Amino acid sequence: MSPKGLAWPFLALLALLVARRRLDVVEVRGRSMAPTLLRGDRLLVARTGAARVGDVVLAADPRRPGRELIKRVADIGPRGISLRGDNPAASTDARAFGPLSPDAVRWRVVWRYWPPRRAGPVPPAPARPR
Amino acid sequence: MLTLRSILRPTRIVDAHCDIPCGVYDPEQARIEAESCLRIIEKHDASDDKHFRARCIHVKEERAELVKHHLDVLWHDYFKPEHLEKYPDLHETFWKATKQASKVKQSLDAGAAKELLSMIDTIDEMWKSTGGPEKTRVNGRPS
Repeated sequence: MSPKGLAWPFLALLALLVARRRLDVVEVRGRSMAPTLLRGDRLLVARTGAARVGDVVLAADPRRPGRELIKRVADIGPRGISLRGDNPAASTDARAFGPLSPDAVRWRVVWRYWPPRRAGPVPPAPARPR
Repeated sequence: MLTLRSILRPTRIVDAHCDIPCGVYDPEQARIEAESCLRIIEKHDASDDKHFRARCIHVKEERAELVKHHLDVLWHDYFKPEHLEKYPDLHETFWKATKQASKVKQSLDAGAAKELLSMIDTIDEMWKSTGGPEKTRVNGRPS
């Protein structure tokens, strides 16, 4: 990667936002979001006040403090936000731990920057036969 | 100093977590793909149709990549630290086998594909002697 010209102001802005904790960069582990996100994918995430259905978000694991989960918002209802992995056969999600309080969902994925081959906005959930 | 590398380095790991990995592992999966590579190389060499030969190369590279993937899964997910005590050369074996799969991907050398098969057989022995068939297959390996 050789940033030239306009890339530097952009990166400086990115760095500023990271410093102010509005943006952050994270790495994915696990396969419950396959094929959308794979192990080792690196993502730009942004603070969010209001997740929407379909967003891929980071959420505190309600069962294990310190672990942060990455899942997709499947439903927002009166009991809270329900998360689901895009790979439901290999995902521990709202089906296991129920809906989460909106406070638990604080970051939304905006962009994948690594690997370069798959860089771009995170695609919508794959269609699956039910 | 603010560098591109420091900006892009992830600050933390996020978990696309699953409580239950399926737990089914078998080196046979890698072996079948490696056998495909060998047969495809033979078919390539026997043909003088350049389109067919081009397809052979394309498919062989895909299959060799699958060999690497299946070996990686065995290495990361099936083998445990206690297996390393029994087989101190475990890492070396996998490293060499996945390198050999790369070689098969890059070349049309039938000898390299045969060598890969024998390396997978070595891994198969490790899998068998650590209880792989009973522990990971639903009814053992079908005979």
